[in-house]
Amino acid sequence: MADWPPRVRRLRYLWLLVPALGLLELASNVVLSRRAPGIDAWRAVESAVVALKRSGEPVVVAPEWAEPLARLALGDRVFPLGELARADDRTVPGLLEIAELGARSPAVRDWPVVSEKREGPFVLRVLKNPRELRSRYRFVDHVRPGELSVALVRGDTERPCEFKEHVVATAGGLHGQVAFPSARFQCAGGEQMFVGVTVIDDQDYRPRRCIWAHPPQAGTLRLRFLAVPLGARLHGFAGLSYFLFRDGVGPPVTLAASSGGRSFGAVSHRDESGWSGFDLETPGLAGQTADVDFEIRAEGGYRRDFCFAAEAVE
Amino acid sequence: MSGERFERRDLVTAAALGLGYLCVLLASTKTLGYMRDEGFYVFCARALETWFDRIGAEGSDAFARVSIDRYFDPVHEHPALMKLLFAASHRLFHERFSLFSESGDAYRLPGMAMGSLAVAVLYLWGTATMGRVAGAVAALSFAWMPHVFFHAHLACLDVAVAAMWLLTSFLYARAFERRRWTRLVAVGVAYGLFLNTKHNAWMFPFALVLHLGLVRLVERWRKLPRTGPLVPWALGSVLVLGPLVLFLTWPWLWFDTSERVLAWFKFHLGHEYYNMEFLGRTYWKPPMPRLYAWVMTLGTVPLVTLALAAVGSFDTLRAVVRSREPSRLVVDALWLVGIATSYAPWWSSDTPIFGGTKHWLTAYPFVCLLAGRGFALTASHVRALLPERPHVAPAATAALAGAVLLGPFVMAVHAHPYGLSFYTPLVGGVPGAASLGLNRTFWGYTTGVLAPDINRRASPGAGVYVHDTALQSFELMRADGRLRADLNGTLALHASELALYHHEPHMRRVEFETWLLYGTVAPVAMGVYDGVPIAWLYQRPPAATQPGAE
Repeated sequence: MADWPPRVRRLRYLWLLVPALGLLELASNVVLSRRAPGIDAWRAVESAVVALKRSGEPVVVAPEWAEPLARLALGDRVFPLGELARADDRTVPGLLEIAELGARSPAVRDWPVVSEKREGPFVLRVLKNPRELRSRYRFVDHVRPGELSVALVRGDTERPCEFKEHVVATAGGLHGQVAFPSARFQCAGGEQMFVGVTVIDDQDYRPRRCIWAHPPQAGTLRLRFLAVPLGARLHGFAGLSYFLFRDGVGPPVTLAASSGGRSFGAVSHRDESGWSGFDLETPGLAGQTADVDFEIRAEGGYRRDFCFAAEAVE
Repeated sequence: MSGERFERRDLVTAAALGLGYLCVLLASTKTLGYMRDEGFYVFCARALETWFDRIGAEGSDAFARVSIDRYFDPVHEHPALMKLLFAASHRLFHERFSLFSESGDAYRLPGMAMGSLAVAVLYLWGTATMGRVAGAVAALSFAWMPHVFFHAHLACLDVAVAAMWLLTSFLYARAFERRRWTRLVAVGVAYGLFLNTKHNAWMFPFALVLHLGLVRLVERWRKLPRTGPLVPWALGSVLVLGPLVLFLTWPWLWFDTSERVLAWFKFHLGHEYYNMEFLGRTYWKPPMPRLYAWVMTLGTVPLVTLALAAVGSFDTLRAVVRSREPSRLVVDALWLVGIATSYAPWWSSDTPIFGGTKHWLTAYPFVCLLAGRGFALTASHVRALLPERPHVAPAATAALAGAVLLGPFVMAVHAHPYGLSFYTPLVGGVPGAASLGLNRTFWGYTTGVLAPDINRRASPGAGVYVHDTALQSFELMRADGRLRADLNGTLALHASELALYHHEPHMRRVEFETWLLYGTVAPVAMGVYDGVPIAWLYQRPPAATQPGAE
């Protein structure tokens, strides 16, 4: 090696890269372990977040994995369930993004920034929805007597489902049922036969607040919402708990919408589709108020844990 | 070289390293919650402790079928050796001699001892083949792999089976060349116990056949003299003595032997699929991601160890191509085959993933031996850069060892008690891995981190929804006083006052259920590792409403 050209001989110093790598990795580990804000930093940002938070404009956290920390520090006031488990972003006028580590929320990255403010390790951005669908009525907020009546319909027979307010709420854990709320329209045929508000997991295992509407094995489950201010269409989503039904084991569930015998159309949902969207036109009814029926059926389905969310949009 | 006798000081050093590691493990076990599998193995061990009592009371009747079927039935898809050791350790060191105040520590002792055994064997084998410092680097690189450090604490089988694969390979290498009866018996018995540790041992004979083929091929190609007989006696010992020892030491196989052996194979060859998050996607059925093992290895093993192993592999391949060191060929080929065989199932996209990095933990001792080789080569080149003065070379070697071991040591300590949540800087550490969508935790053990909050918040006699923590593991925490004795672990969310949640994407539905039943989306306490939420705790507000129905 001694008679090798100096340039080649210098390569022997490359062996020093090994200990250098060890020390560099050690230093990187120390730096990376201290980079992301902890609970105290999240608590410290509370007043700034509350000042910027507007009702109906959800808070999103970037990166998404930090959101539980935000919920712990900022609480239900900043993360109301209806906003946290919203059906999608299309009908929200704007969002408040809390970002750390230079991250952005991918779904709203292209939304115009109304304001941006640095607070400690966080960046608070008020974002405006550039393609907002104006919602006139969110059905999931009206699952209560006086605004909704529920019945099982088979042929000419109707069996009303009674509203109960203080049933024991239950949940099945990982492999069991989603949460069954204490306030619900209980139908005949078993505990799962009710209409009420719950939260299911979508295909990304994100929360979706929706109206549980388990169809009967024969016949139809009918939900009649009273005096609904209509827009140009019904915009909605439907699904079953993705974790439980992602293998697609049951027959499709059909949801049909109508008003006063006038059909808006129907959508057929397959288990493995996850939380999937639909739009049903309500031609000629924009600006009017009318009762809206949703009829759900699944022929021969034993366990059809169907859940949907819909809005009347302009 | 690995067939020669060891010097006394090497044996003492190996023992010191092993015992030192055992002390570190024992000292750090209290903050580590109990995994799901530990709960199940403790259940098995308790059954076996009852069997011990029956032996004392009934003598040979305890070995009758009815007794064996009863006490060896729990979790019989895994063999008996470690479960027997867990039971014996608990009976002796907790109940009889009160060496451990917590029963969990006594149950964990055999697993820790196996990790310590691996460290000691690595030092001995590394010293025999590469020198003392390289041997120490190999041993400590293994000890301070963060995921190994985590698994080495547990009353489980994974570090134990890695230790047994290493030990059996070591004894096989020592018995490869000559027909010495003691060594032949030793390797056969070791393989029997290896088989009785975990089913990874099924692959070992295939590894040995592959190894033999490789050695003979290279000998022929390089025109090297043949090492030992064409087919080593040690291979015969493994194939004959091994199953015999397994049969003798696993009483479950004494009855309906063929059916039970077949059932054992069938269970593991047709194992169900679990959910595993990888690069932002949850896999639960084939095809599973072929990159999983490789990316997870890169993301969890210190890069410096992998770099040394890469240098060591290069050195080994160069030795095979250029030099004439038959004994090195036998040993190094055994290491390479150990790695290749351990990773082999992960070439198939049908292999279920249910335990993260523990699946190929058996490869890591051999990776570390190659890292020792890499260290020896690097050290020789670094020393050559320095002036030839006394003390300079030893100091340089020590400094180099420090530079390659300090990082892994710090990472292993920092990983505790989150263990499985640890990721190396290569993927951005814990936050980087969370952003990449790599699994954050599984096995429900992070309840240990939240135990003080549970104890502080729960009202007397409160029900605690355990989520992914096995009820047996929760009970063990309670029995050991880590959780208050009046608390009740439950899987009925509606009957609970506190609810645990251990984050995995597919389990989020459990969190949603908690939101609805508790009427809040805000946890009250959280296990946060490097700024990343790992597990959290909900508390039912005094008058919980149903927010979903508002």
